[in-house]
Amino acid sequence: MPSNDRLPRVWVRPVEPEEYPGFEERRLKPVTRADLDQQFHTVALRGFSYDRSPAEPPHKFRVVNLKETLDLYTVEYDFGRVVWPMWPFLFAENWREVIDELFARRLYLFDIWAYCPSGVFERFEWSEYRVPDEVHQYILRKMGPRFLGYDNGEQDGRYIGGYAKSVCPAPATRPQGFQAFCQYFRQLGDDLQNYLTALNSLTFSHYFAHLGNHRLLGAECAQALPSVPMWYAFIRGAGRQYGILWFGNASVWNRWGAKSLADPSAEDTNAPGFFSGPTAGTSLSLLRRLWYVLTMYGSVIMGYEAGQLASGTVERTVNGVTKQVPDLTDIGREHMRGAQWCADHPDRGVQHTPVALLWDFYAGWAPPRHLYTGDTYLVWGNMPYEKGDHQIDLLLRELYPDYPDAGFFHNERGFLTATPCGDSFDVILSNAPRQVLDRYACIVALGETPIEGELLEKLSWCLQRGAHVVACANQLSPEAAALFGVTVGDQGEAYHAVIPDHPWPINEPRFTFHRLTCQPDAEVLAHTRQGSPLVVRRQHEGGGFTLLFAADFFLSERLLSPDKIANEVDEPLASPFATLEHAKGILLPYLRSFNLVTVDGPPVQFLVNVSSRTDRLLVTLCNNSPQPWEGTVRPKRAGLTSARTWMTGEEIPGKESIRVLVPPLDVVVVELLLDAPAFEARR
Amino acid sequence: MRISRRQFLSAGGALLGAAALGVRIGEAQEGDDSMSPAINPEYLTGSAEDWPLNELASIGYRGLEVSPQAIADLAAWKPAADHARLRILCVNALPELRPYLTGSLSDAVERRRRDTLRRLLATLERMRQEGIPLLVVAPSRLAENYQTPDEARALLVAGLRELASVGDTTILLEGAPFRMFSSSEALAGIVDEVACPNVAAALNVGHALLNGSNPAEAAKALGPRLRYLQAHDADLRPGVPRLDRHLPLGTGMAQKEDVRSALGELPFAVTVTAPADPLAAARDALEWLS
Repeated sequence: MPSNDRLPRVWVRPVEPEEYPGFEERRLKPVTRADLDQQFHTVALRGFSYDRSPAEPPHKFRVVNLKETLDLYTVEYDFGRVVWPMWPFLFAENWREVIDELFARRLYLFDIWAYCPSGVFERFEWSEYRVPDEVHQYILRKMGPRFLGYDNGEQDGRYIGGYAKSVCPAPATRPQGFQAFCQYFRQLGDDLQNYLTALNSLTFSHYFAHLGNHRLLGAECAQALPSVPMWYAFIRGAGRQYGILWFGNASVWNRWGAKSLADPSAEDTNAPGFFSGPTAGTSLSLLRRLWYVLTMYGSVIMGYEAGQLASGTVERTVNGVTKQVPDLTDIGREHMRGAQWCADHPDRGVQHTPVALLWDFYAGWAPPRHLYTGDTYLVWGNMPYEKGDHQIDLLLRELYPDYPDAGFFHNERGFLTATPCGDSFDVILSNAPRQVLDRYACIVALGETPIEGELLEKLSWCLQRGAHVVACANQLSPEAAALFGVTVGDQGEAYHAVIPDHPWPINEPRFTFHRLTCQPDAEVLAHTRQGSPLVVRRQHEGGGFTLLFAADFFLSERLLSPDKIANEVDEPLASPFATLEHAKGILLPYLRSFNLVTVDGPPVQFLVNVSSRTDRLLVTLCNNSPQPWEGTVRPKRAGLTSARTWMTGEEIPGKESIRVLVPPLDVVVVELLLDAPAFEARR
Repeated sequence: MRISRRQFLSAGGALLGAAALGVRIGEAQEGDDSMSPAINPEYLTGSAEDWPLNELASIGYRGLEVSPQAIADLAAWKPAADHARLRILCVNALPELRPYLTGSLSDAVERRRRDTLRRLLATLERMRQEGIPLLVVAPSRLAENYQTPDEARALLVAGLRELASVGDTTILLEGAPFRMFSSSEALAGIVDEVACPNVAAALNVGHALLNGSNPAEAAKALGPRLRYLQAHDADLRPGVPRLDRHLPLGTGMAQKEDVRSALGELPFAVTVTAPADPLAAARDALEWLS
């Protein structure tokens, strides 16, 4: 456990891309906060109108009503400064006029979307197109850094679903899986001037960042896409590892249809060619929760995909001019409310993510099931999970219960989850440099990740700096074993564990472990009945601990054969393995201990944001249950001088802790001011 | 040794059997001109270099199946192959035919389709210079959103005709999993529609299994169009994702009698992937097939 004797040292600086080594040399610079005028932004609109269908030969068309459209979305309703259009305007006869107008209004041009591999260009829909040099150069000259990139839009999912399995033969090694993945994205990057924004659809954000041709990372959440707290552990981790800012967005789509509140009294219908209507698509409550959660995650841009304006009109006066404009829908109102809330609370700090989940760069890990394939348990889309991949999955199931169900349940289970150990993890890959690893108080090595060579050297350095490192014996080289205070011997089998300070021995499914011989300074936290160590802790001079599990990946042996695992909508996905009980009993409290607050009550999603002000914590409580949540929040190392909810501005009484009520399917952000520092700020 | 198209298509233009191109399995002899059994060393080792060619020859292999990239890099490995008396039986162009990643014969994006053809034509020219008789190609997946199967098929047929028109090399169309036209019946129809004497079919045992076909039945459906066989295994156990993993023979669902029936007297290559222990897999493959 982290020491209670001294304050935790907490990284409070936000990602500043220009501070990352090599920034000046990068051919494509990531978006900086200066590019964004040091402000948080929201998305205004997603497309333009044309005088005729661009698909109509001879494909001569013009953008029309440009000023009126921009006025509606950025003046009459101030949805934001970010314009997120579909690509055909790049080929309109008046494309320069569009760029000039965006520039004149100091808007941002963001994530030009709807590139689709092999889609016929002349259809001007989901098409493969190449951005003409003339257009690209003009955009760059005119917009400068306010052009945020072309859309690498959910292409990781498209690759996995449509192309990975056609790689013949399927990769034999993970680096080959990475190479095939890169072949796809090299094509895409070349078509789009290698000037991209990653709208992820799976967990490959690190690889996009690694390619060096992306300016921002983010996702359009909900749809039938992954669980958000799990997913943003990847996106945030990639952003922090590579020095790239991230954004959030929430979609009105789900697996079955799209929400439309244009006419709130309308019936849901299949008339548009898909299921649509007031009760179709993403629920309003999930849209609302996503706004605040993604914002508190540190997104630099936030928006809703669509549906802000109604079919009915209202009279509205702006700048002394009165006119009829479309009314706001509930989505539009939620957007305006969220944007105003962000403007009213600009000092949201930095999400406290003290624990890095680290695995091998080439892992290519993806959730065990997702939208893009009926297959389960694959990495890189064309290689079966190994046992270490199951370890990642099963630990994530402990940290984000039900996360594999996102996109599979009508009741939206899994999109946002409770976080029993706090929403406090980033995913980092093994190639991360020291200065990135140095942000984390604890590094948990997972998966098929040999701890040797450069990685061992980096982890040793982190230990000297006071970090904690967690691993399993089957990941260790002999040199790494010495660091963890053990010698790793031959394998044994067991089906129980004894934790000395627990009242009862623990029954386990059968598991394989390595016999460990401990150095004198290593402490055995769990063992077999015969005395073979199962968990070993060792303190290091820097103040941190190593924590080692003898069981392979702290998992059971295989419990289920593949034919027993069904992947069905509205059904959970079984795992063929199980996390061992003694590992849960020791590891989960250990991970929880790195949080700056204690949250007691029914399961809830919570995250903590920090800033350089060490006597101030922001706690976001997201209740993803249809029942009201009532519980307490207590800072671990200080008392309270005041507490105030940012949702209403009301004070919440309490000296040691506060009692908080979060309405069903809603979110509350609380600002805690403390009577003493809760942490030491690392800069 | 060089084999011309005429030689290859001799004996009435029907099968070129082991007597001409290869020898019976396990009976390779010093000094003969056979190219079969062949093996794909790139697939076997999972690597484009450091192939154990001498060891493969000593196991009994007489020929190689390689990728277009390997043909472009002949200088790097051909002397070693010559020393091991391994000759190149076939160029397997599937690495050049990964839809969107590298290319496709029916790509709806014309510039990429032309680029694919250009690269394959360059490979054919090198093959002609080296006297390599066989080129394996495969259909693609349907281009996204707006291409019909008929449009894709027309482009594939046109592409095959273009490749066939430039020399003696035999172009072999093979059904690949997760793509269009993967059944033997569909392939036979396309080969017949192309109607070029040097366009025929290949059968890949593992691919046939993944496509839901029995290899013996698939070979029968291809009939005299079938000129070449590739052998690896596939895992079709319930609940296991269908993946084109090129498993060692005997570790999946392939049945010896079906593969032997499909093989007949055809020249063939072992297309197993086993980077952990390639020589054992290569040896086991020949034993399994014999």
